[in-house]
Amino acid sequence: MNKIGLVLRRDYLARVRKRTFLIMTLVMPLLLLGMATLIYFMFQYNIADSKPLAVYDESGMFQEAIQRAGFHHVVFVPTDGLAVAKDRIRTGDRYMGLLYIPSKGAFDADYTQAHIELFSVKPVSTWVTDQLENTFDNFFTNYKLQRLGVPQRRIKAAKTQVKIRLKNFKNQDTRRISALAAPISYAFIFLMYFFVFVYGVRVMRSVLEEKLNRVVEVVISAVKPVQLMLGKIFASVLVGLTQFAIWILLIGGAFLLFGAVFSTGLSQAYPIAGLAEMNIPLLLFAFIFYFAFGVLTYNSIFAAIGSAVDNQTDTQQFLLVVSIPIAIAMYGSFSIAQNPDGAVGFWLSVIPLTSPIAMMARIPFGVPLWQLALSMLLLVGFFFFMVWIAARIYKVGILMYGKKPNWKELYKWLKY
Amino acid sequence: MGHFLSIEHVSKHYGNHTALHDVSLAVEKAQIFGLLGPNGAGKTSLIRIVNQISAPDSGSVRINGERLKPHHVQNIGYLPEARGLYRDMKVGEQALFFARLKGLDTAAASARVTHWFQRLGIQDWRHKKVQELSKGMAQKVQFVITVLHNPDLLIFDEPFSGFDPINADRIKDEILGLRDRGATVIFSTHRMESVEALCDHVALISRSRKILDGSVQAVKNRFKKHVYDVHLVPFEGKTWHTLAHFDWREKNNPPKYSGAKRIWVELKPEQSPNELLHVLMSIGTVRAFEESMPTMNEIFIEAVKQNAHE
Repeated sequence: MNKIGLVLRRDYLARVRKRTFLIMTLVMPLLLLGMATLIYFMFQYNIADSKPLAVYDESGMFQEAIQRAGFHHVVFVPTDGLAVAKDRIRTGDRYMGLLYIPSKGAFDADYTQAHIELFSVKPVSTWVTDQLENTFDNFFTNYKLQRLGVPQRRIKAAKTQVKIRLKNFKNQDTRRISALAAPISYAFIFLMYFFVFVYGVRVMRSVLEEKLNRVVEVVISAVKPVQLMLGKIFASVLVGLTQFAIWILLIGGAFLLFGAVFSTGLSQAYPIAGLAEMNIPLLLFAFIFYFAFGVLTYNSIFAAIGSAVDNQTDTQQFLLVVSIPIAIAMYGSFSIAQNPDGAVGFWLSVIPLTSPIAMMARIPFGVPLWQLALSMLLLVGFFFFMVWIAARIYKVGILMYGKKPNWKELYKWLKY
Repeated sequence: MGHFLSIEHVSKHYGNHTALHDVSLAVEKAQIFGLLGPNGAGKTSLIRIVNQISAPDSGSVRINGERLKPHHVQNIGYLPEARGLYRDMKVGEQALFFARLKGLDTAAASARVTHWFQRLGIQDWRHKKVQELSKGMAQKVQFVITVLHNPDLLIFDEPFSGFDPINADRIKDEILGLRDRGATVIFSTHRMESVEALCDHVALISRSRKILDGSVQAVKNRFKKHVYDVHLVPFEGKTWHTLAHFDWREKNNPPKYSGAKRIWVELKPEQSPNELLHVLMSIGTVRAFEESMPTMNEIFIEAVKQNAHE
């Protein structure tokens, strides 16, 4: 086994044998699943928790329509005097507001001035007004059509649901972007960000640890510093892939075991049916590629930082700078869902320091092959360049003690 | 040239700092070579060059006449002064890892680890983690890791630090044994008494330059002051005026013999020991007469001071 392989093996085993690895690997998916479920239920709870809408319907026509308007809870109050009802609603603070619908006679012929009013202590959200206005619009359209003599079944029959057929200019059908594209894109942004940072910081700590417990000089009397560094960063990627493989096995296993029980609940909570519209092999390949090269590239930077300093505190000034491209990639990528092929998406997904995150955010929406190839090529090239730079800093840094380095110092080391 | 290790006109700079300036050394096979010098003199830089951790800016290093090549690293055992082990790794696994890094296959590495662990009586530690060991125990493991691939060149930088006297002696015997079995040893230390006990040859580096080089005996001869340590029982009623043309002084150190006085006499170039002895014999009974040789410690301090003044 060559020396990089020996270092890789040692680092890999040291990492995966740690109890923290097992705990993180097992707890992490549960944590993520728990978080997603929590967010979903919080959303549901927020709706359920909303205050009921009180309705004072003098016309008596809207009971059914308003019940169907999407409010969690609607209460029709007795129509025994508006002033009394207003007083009751205002003082209790148990309602989001009082919707007043006048008697039929108050509507004008065109129903443009329906004199419908909504009383509330605090202004209601636009969602509430939109829902209500839509409800009334539909109701009055229906109502007017009926008055013009169109029977109810004809009105129903007149409703259409147009689905535009998507084609390319060669006249072939193209796929519709899955409803899952945006959530998957966000998930990738989060995952890549997590991996790049967590694994990077781990490599940095491991380098610093070797330097501080003084094992490094013993090691580099047998292997070249660049071999040691490469062994370490490759080991870190392998640990990540191992973790990922365990997660896939766990999730797959859970589906096989409990699939029948949970499938209904799951498909309600998460629209997994949309998965069928995604190009899963491409997603998986791209994920492994960008994970590997993204983590490798950033790991080499983190390794150089770890080698340059004597303690954790001194890493701050460097970490701040390294986190800038990661933050740009992450926050920039959130806009990709709106316009996956825009200039922001394109540039972020081909520039090597941002591409591992940004390209993964774009892929669920579909990316032209040449852009994917360009991005991958640039990333691989940049990885080699970064390793070259990092190795030069690393080989000086690991043997340098008692000096608080700055950027200028690191630049000088490049020329040693 | 039959030198085992030749360092020829080696210079090394880090930015504006000169770590080594035109240093040349020749180390013979199966020799213990003391590489001495104050802190920051350039010893570690030189050792790192021999270990190929860094490369010289100019000059060359040869092992057995061949310019340093990557494969030479496998034939060197290096115990750096700043040393350590992976704390959360088991002792046995760690030794195997380093043996394999030095080019041994798993079976050979395992056999060598067993041999050395038994030799130093540490086989019970094999499954312990380094963090469970005391400092002295860890140093023993570190020593084994340095020697277990049976290298022809061993470089020890302060090998005795962290050892109690008994274990330091044990390690000293092992180093001598390795030399006797044909290994060449470069030994760097600030403990001059161990230099006298171990080294065949010394070189002193100060302020990036080699300022002294030679066998221990030759170096001592060069630095001796022609001082004689005399234990003398004076004759009754004899005056010491005949000693007046010698530069002498009485030492406060207690003499080894009863009734004796202990004096130090420094000879001038034109004076001989026989002449001194003749005068001494006329004024008393000479119980001991020995040329006082400088200790390596004295030589070290004097040479470094001289260099600082140049």
